[in-house]
Amino acid sequence: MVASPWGKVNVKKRHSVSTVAILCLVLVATSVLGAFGYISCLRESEQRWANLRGKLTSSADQLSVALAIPMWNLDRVQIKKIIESEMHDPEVLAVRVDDTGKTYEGGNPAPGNTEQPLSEKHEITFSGEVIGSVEVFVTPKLVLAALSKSRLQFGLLILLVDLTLILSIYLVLWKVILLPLRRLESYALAVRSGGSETSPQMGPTKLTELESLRVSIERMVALLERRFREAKASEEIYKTLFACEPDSLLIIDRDSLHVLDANDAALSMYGYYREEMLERSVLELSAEPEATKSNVVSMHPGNLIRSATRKNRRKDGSVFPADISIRAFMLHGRVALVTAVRDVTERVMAENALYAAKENAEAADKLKSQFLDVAAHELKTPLTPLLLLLQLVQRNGDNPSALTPEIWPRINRQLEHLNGLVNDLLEVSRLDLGLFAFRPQFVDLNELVSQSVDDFRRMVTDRKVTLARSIAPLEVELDPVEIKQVLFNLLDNAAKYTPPLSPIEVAISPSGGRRVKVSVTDHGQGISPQQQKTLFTRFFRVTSSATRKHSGLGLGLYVCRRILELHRGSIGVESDVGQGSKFEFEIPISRTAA
Amino acid sequence: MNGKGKIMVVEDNEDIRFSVRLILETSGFTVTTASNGQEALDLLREGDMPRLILLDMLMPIMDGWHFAAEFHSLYGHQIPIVVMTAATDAVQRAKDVEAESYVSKPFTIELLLENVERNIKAA
Repeated sequence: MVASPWGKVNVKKRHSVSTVAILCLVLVATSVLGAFGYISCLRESEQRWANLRGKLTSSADQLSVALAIPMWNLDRVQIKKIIESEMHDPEVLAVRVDDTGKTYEGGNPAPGNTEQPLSEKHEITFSGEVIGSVEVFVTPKLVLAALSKSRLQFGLLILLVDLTLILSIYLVLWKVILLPLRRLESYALAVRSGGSETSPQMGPTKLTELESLRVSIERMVALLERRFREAKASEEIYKTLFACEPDSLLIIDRDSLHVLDANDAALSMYGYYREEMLERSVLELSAEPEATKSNVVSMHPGNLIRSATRKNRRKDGSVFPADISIRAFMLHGRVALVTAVRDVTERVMAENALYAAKENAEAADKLKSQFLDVAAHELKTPLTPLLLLLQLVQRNGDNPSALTPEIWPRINRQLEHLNGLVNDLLEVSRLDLGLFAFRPQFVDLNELVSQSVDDFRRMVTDRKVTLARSIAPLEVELDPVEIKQVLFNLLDNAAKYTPPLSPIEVAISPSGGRRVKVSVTDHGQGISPQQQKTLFTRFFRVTSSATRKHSGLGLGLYVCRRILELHRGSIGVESDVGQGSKFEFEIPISRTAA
Repeated sequence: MNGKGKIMVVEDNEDIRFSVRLILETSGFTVTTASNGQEALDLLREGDMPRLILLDMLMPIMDGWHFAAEFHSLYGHQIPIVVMTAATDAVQRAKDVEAESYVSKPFTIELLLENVERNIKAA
């Protein structure tokens, strides 16, 4: 969680501004007033003490003067009278008069009080002769009482002033500073607690500093609110983008390579639950971890890797190709990588398919060129004798020589050969263009095969064709013309590639699932495994045109395959070089059962 | 020996063999024929030396390439070979087997005779 700019105010450790301010002001006021009071008290005390001493001296002086005559006259009554009158003064504690051996006392000079009485002793002289002495004792009690009274007054005054000061300052502070500050604080709290739209309004204050503070705080808050709203909006946008992005997005820590965040697309693409995905190393998501690592470790903020196709690994271990774009940025002081991953399996498959199609097309094109070459060559083969034979007939036109009857059958034979080649070409065109009139009907397969074998035996007399039947007469739904064509092609091939008198075996046998199969086996040169692969494609012939020993356009097996496809059947070959070949086709007994 | 000399025709197609023999004999040549390279070599081994050989290329058992190579190694280049070929690039075919000349299939009687006469004279 990001620390709030206001933080948490620790109330206990800190002191209110007002308390501190008031304490300071009160301290200053108290010490000023205290100093002033102390000095005043000191002065008053000095003055009072001086007054007291002055009074003592003057009393002693007056007494010594007043007592001189009565003492001279030994008028004791008068002396006592004077002493008593002196005793009326509350400050006079005692008066002691010594008259050469005789003492007159008034009051008690040591009444047991703690205050040490002040005393002054004066000699009494009369006509220049010392006749006695007078000693006056005064008590400082009254002075001390007066002094403590005035101290008390001062103390009270200071207290009063302090209280007034505290009260007035507090009131002023409250009104002028604390209240606006409280408002600011509650405003800040309101902003912090979620940027409420109705922020408490701070009233204007009368102090310019506070006013400008208030204004700047309001501006700052407005700015913060705007920033906050913008940040929140931008966060919402990015959150939504991150979640809704159809491409997988991963946030990765560059140094640890751990996944910090992943969107739903990434989770479903890699097959992990969110908890499994987070903190997983990105290397576990790659099928080429070394390449991924070396790509990523050197990335710095701002660096970009665009669309590198890498193999990725799902949780179940399956591997898929993906386009990866990576951008590095700073996140909480570390380098993070935002990685977009797009599954390109379909594209790669399409590319592969396209590439295969191109290869196929090129191969087909090459095959077609070769075929054209072969076809032209094959068509020239009957044309050459035809041209010569016709020229010979033409030359002897008016005078038919003895040889003419020998020439005509040759011309016929070559024309038939030419016709056969043209028919082969037309057959392929017909099958490829879909102009084929397919007419299936229920025919006894045994009968059909033995007819074909018989026909072939009549045409090719130097090969031994045997027929083995392992099924009872069986009606099979097929186009008899086309299946006869297939059989003829297979037998013709077998004859072409086997030496004379080598046996050719034809067999009919049941196959599983209401199907029946027919095989033609020879003991000729055989077909290499490589050639077997392309045997049933168009224009194929076992030997290349340059070394070929047999005529033909190489269309026979392709035609067979197409015919059997129409019958929902199939054709295949088993062969070993030098051992011979076994061609076998299979068709369903009924097309509806296929 | 007949006036114009002997020509050997090596060709697997029976009708071509027949026609060429007829044409050449009509023109006064003596003709021996073979249906493949092996047959031709057998005939030559018997000492039946022609003045010119007309050679087809694509034949079973032994084709024109094999025959020409064998022939040249056995008898050198005294006897000219004229290749009869249906190949698109007849010149190259002739070069391949070090033949003196060629006739492209299909050819006319005139073309064949002209070619044979010229090569016999040159030899």
